[in-house]
Amino acid sequence: MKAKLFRCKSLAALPLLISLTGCEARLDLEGVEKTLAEAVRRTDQWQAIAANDQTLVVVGQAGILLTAERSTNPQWRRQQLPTAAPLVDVVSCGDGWLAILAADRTVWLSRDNGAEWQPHGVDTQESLLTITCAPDNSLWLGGSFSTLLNSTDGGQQWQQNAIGEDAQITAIQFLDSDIAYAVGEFGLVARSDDGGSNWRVVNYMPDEFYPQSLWFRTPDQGWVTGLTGTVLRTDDGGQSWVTEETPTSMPLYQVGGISTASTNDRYVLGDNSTLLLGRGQQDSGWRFSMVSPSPMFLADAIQIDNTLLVVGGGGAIYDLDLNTQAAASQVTNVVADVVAEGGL
Amino acid sequence: MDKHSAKAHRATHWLHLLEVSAFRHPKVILGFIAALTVFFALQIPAVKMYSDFADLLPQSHPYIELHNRIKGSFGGANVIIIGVEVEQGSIFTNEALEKIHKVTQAVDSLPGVNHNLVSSVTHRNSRKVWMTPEGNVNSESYYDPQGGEMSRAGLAALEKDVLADPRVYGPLVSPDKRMALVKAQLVEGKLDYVATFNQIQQMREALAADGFRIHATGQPMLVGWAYQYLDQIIEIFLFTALIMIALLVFYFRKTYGVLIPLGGVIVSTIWGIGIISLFGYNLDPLGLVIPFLISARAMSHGIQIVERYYLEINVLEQQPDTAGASDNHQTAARRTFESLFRPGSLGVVSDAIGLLLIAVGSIPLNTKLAHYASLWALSIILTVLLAVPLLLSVLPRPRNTEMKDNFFRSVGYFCADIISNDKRARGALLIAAALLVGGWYASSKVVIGESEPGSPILYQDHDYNVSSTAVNDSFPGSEELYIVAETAAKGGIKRPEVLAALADLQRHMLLDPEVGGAKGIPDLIVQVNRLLHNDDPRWMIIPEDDQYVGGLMFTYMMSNPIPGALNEFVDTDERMANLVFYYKDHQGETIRRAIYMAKQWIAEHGNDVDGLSIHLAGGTIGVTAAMNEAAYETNLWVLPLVFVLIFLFVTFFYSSLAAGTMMFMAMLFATTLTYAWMGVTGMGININTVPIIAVGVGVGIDYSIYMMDRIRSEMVIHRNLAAAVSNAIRTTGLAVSFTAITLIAGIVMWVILSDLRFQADAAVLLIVMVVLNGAAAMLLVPSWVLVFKPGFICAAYEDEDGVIHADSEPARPNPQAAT
Repeated sequence: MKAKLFRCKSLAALPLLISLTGCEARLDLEGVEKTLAEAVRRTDQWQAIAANDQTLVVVGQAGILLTAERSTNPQWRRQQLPTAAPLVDVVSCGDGWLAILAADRTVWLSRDNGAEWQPHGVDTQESLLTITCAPDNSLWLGGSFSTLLNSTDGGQQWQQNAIGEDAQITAIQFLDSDIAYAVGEFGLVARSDDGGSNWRVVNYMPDEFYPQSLWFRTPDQGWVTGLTGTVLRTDDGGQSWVTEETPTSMPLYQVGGISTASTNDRYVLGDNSTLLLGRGQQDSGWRFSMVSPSPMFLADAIQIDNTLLVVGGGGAIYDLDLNTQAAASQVTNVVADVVAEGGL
Repeated sequence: MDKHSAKAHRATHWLHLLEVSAFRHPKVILGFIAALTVFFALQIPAVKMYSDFADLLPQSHPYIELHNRIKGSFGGANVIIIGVEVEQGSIFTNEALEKIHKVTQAVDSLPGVNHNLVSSVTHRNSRKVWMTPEGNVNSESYYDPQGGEMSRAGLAALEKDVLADPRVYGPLVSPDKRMALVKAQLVEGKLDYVATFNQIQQMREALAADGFRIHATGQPMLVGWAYQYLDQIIEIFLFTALIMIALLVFYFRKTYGVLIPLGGVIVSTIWGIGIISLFGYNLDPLGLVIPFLISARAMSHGIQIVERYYLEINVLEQQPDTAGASDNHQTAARRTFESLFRPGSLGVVSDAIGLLLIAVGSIPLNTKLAHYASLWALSIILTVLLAVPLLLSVLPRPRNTEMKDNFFRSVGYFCADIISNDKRARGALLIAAALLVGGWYASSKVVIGESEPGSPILYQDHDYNVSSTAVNDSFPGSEELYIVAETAAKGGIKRPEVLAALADLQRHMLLDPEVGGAKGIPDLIVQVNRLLHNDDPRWMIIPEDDQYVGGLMFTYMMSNPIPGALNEFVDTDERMANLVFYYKDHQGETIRRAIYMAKQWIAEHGNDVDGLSIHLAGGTIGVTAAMNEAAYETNLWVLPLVFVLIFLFVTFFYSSLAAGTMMFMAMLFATTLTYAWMGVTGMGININTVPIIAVGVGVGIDYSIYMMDRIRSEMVIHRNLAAAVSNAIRTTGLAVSFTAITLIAGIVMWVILSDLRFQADAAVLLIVMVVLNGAAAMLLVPSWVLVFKPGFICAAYEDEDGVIHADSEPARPNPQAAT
């Protein structure tokens, strides 16, 4: 009996030995878990931001979006749509709907402030690049081969609108229920005076300028941006364009208006964290608004009260205090400042 | 006597007859050994001493197989990295840019350099690429060496352009703008390590200037440094020899005492190196600690034999019936042989088991070491355990046989005082149990791989590791992990679903904040797509058809002034793609996490896309991961195998399960505390340390075997367990402590003199194991015997041949006698 007990004891040492040789320190995944818990990651490439009365939405690559309660200091929630398609644009409509355009020609609609999203396929073979909402809450899409599509039934059906050109539509803006502008490749400027029912080519910008964005302050005065730091202005509804001097040679991706007590009233965003502010009725000079914290593109912005929320590559979401930036603008919140290497 | 005991008696009687016959013809056997020694000596000139770094790689590991497959196309681990750092300001000055350009030129002219894979901010392939308003893709070099001195505005423009290029700013120019990297791939096969190292060092000297630091790192530099220390081995050898001779003189102060153990070492070394030659192996400087240990082991056996010989002569001289007999020295030599050959052989066999089992792993360096070192160790049975007693029997009787007390003897007395009764023995076992539990906990902190950045081959303050640290501190990561995507069909990498999957893998890997960045074909495609669409970020999408993807790849290739611009991303068939991830270091923890993350993605999404398979892992991280995984797996197998085999040998040798169990527990105690020491000091389990642990167990258990054997012998004489244990500790304490000192002396010079941390770490680990095993033998084995009173000791008796036995069904020990 004693001998048997002794054998058992000796066998008991074997698991101890195996556990000893199999031992290694616990794998530290704290950093990964922390990243997973964060709403914003450095791999995010934010393309657009929009807001209705209650909700902010930011969209980016691979079906990823952020939502938050409308605020100057939003607490972001990360969502993954059931698609890996890049999300290229987002818009909010007057009725509170939120609409996202995905690169796979799907429009995702939410009627409950981003809690749920319904996909609506768009029957076209063209590449779609921009989405906007008219004052009558109809949705408008712009894409290659001068594609202009609109839907008045929440994305169920889409109507083709002809411009009759072979150009990539890059931006659409509805100024009111009648007047709308669309700009595109080869300097195309198209205008509608009947709420989008009919479009006509107003003129072409000089040198077949490729406009990346569009913002009309009035039916006559507007700006477009493009490569090599170029900002063009029209004061006659797109008939003619003048180049405004900018302190950058970076490509500029977005132009928009801001309204604050300060003298600035418009902004331009571009590559390499370029953020320019301009003011006045005419060209009175664009100036850098912040020191570039890292070389990433800035794609879109939205003004919430006196804060400009700016989104871009590398997971960048900046909030710029428009009250203080006149004296010394600063980035108050850099979410991520490391960009993945790669590309040209 | 039962059937089993009868068999044991027959076997030992046969061995006894063999021993007796050996002493009948000592000169014949010595002549045979001498002839073999001459034969092995003749083989020595064929042995070459060099390091083959391919021997460090587990060639059958899938990561190394991948590394071998892709090193021709995507590059391997032979990357040289030169960092040019300015102490103040930025690199965007004429002086700094000129220096970077000179370094780039020097690197571009290294022997075996792949000129297409040289990268630097001043190299012609670092180019500003832009889209003109007319829609043309233009490019020009950032730096024009023929352009003369640049104006302040020109430098500012250059800085601005570089900062806007994520392929240069970050990978080649540090985020703080104070350091620029010059990187190059050297072609394996054409690579001349010594010439490369010398050229780089000459360049560093020539370009040294105030305000600049030039750092050099990468595998070719590491190998170059290792070659610099070949001369140091001679220095270590000479110092070790001096220490050994000094120890012999201090211990014996007798001609036989000094010359015979020394002769044993020399003969055993000749056999060992001869065996290496017969295998056709090289003597690798990185694996020299083990041969030194074997030599020290041979010497310690020699010392024990000579010491016992003197003891036996003195005993014979003190006995009335043998005092003054003319053949006392021959009798003493035979008795010495009878006493020490069996435990000595068992010790040597346990050493050889530890050494041989190193071959279980897949590291060629260790496999070679296992083959020759185990045979070398076994040769000690003939060259020392047999030859030395035979030699003593034929040599004239020494005049002075008096052995003086020395420091080593007091170690035994001290330990005997500690383990003086049952109560203290129980206390010692309880303390050991507590240490075992604590040690087990501490051993859970042991890291697989390196616990420090830089190379484990060299010390942290070595120029190479200082350079590596400087580069790693300034850049998101100079250590590269390659993950290779392979598709079934030619051109398969261009499939959109393949590219989307790879982009997802990149995002997954970048969840780890330790990853400094990533580079791969999906990034390239979306960036070219964006660029071709007027740099509009909304076009950062993977196109919907593979022909469009092919067009983008073609555009990128055509926009590049040098051929093979896509070679770092895809193979020429566009069937395989390389994803590169940059890490700050190759510490074990970093590598484990990197591989874990990659495997996690493969497990979840690896089969999502038809025809796409993901392979791990190349680059320095992949190669090191393979070495770490090989070390871990080897550790998992080798150590239990060493334990089990030694357990079985001891059990068989003493015909006692209790003997095997006792040795098993002694090994477990010493090994657990060794792991605990590794956990506390941050020494990782790697290809250097795993074989050392296995060897350390084999060598270390000798002490416990000697102690157990001696207690048994003393029990036969005294028939009183307490007295037997006390006597055994007092007498064996001398042997154990002196043997331990001899072994430590044999390898300590590697700790003191070697600039190669690889060797020093191995030596330190062995020293720790020797000390712990010595403590286990001196304190735990006697305590175990006193507490458990094993039958093979308590019932031991001497048969007619003088061989000790304990029948397998022993008579119950008399408790009176036992205490």
